[in-house]
Amino acid sequence: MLLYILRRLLIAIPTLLFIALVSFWLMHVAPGGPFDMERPMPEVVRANIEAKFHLDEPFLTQFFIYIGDFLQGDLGPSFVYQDFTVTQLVAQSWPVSATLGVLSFCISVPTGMLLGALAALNRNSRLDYFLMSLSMTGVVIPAFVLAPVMVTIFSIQLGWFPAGGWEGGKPIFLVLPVMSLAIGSIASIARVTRGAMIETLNQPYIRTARAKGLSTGYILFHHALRPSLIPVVAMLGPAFVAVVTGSVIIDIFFGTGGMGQHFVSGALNRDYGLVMGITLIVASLTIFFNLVVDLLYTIIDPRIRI
Amino acid sequence: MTILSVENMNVRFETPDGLVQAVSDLSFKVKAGETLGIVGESGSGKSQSVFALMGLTADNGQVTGAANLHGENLLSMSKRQLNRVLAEKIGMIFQDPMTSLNPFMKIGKQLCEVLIFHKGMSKSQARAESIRMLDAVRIPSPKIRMNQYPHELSGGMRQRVMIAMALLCRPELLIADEPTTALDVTVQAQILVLLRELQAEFNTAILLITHDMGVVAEMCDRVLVMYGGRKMEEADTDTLFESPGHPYTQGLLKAIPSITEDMQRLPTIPGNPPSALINSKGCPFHERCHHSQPVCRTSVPSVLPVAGSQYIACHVMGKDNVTPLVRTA
Repeated sequence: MLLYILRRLLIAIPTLLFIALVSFWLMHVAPGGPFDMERPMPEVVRANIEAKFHLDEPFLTQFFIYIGDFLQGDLGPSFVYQDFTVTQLVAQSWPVSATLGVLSFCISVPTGMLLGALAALNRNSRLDYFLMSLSMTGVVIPAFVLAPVMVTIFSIQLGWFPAGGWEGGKPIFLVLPVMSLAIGSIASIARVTRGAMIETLNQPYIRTARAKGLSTGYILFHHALRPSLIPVVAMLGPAFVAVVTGSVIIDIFFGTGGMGQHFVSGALNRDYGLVMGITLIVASLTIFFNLVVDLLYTIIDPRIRI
Repeated sequence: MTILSVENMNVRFETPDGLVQAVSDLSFKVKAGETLGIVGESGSGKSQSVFALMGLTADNGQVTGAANLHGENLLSMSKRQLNRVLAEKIGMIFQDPMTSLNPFMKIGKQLCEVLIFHKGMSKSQARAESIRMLDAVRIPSPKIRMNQYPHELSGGMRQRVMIAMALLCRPELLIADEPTTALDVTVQAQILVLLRELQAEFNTAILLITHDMGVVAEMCDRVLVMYGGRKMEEADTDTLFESPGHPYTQGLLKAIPSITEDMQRLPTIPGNPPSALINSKGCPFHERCHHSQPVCRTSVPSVLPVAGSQYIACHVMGKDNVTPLVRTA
């Protein structure tokens, strides 16, 4: 077990390096650079700036300088927000995204699974059709539609919650962004849970359990729940990473200042340092949570051994 | 003494293609301690009729008729009442022991939960009783098995676990739905021997569903032959093999390969089983029957006695002339 974890972590190193190389290369081949302005800057100034950021070096040298700094825990300077290092920007924005993400995750996982299980149990009933149409709506409505609609209803018309802002994470400021994040997840988790549950309930061993005269509730909790968790857990790993690393739309619309907005603005501004930093954080988290999911499988299903 | 009496049971399914009649007008009795075999080919309704007894019919199914277990009608019971009867009075084992045990749960828990649920035993009592039952089905080192998962056991062992599980509450009736079909031949024989021994030990009646005439000959006191969801013939096992009354039974027995006769080609019953969708008015077998008469197309024959305890549903053979089966070389 420990050996397996160790091996997986070791394999993660070349994977991360490769991801770093590809994204570094993609950033550099994208047309334009961080210091391209409408008004051309004097050659000397430009050369100075490029020397400061090692942009005058060959591509691979730049890459190795970056990796060297990265290994020492330095994500380098932001090319655009000149007063900040990437580490500072991340340290400032990530807690915001993580708070929103973890909260929405804690709401969406139990709610989604409960609704999915309810739908599966009442398969093809009115409740099932109602829940599934609701969840389909939740899946197809994009966040950039959902967020404004929620603000219109709950902030502008009802006046219950502020329309945006962070204020150091006061609960009342969290409600709308967390809900906007959670609704989509609830919908997709409910759908996956329903499918998994129906699949499990059709298994011969559930028929055996029924033939043993056990009550429906008991069969659900003791016989059907664990097998149904596998597809759900499989989707939750990547979903968790996506949700804690921030959403551009939520960050921009609610002005919460999360990490998602930095990723997009960094890409648009060719802020090489910022984009690389966030990419590597997302990649590491993805690799880590995939490992967590694989370990969870072995806990859920006794047939899976590592 | 009759313990189970099924009367005019019908099982229908509503499907997108129309109404499917899986079981029609089925009646039979099971006496205490006896083994009744139900034989028939795939789709003849044999499994569906016992699923209906156990309340395991799929959601789109509809069961009518009566099935009295000591005067209580299983088919009209509430879920709660039926759950009490299941396991306590009727145990069931299924065809495929590979998939019929929960792969996510230890053998011990799957056994103990029955006793805790139905007998109100404590965990340690249930555990001791489960170990005793595993021992009774000749599972070596039962204590170790209790902590294992189904995938750690062989197919034969898993079927023994299934049998132990079905017998935990000492039911009067054990329903075995093709208990040996998924096992290899040597293990099949062991399981059949075990079932017979346990039957003597616990005085359990067995309702054995199979399509294997060899199993019938070895195990059953009486046999019920089903075709197209209907009972075609019911007789003592010896009578059935010596003088089958119904043309379908005759065809079935002819199709058993013999090791003493030199056969070029195995005799078969020509044609295919009828679709359960087409609810024809006549005998379900008339299209494949050598003796078919015009009346066979228009009316369903009733099940009538021919001799002693032999009953057949046939317009032609039923009246007076039961021709003994002549094996054609």
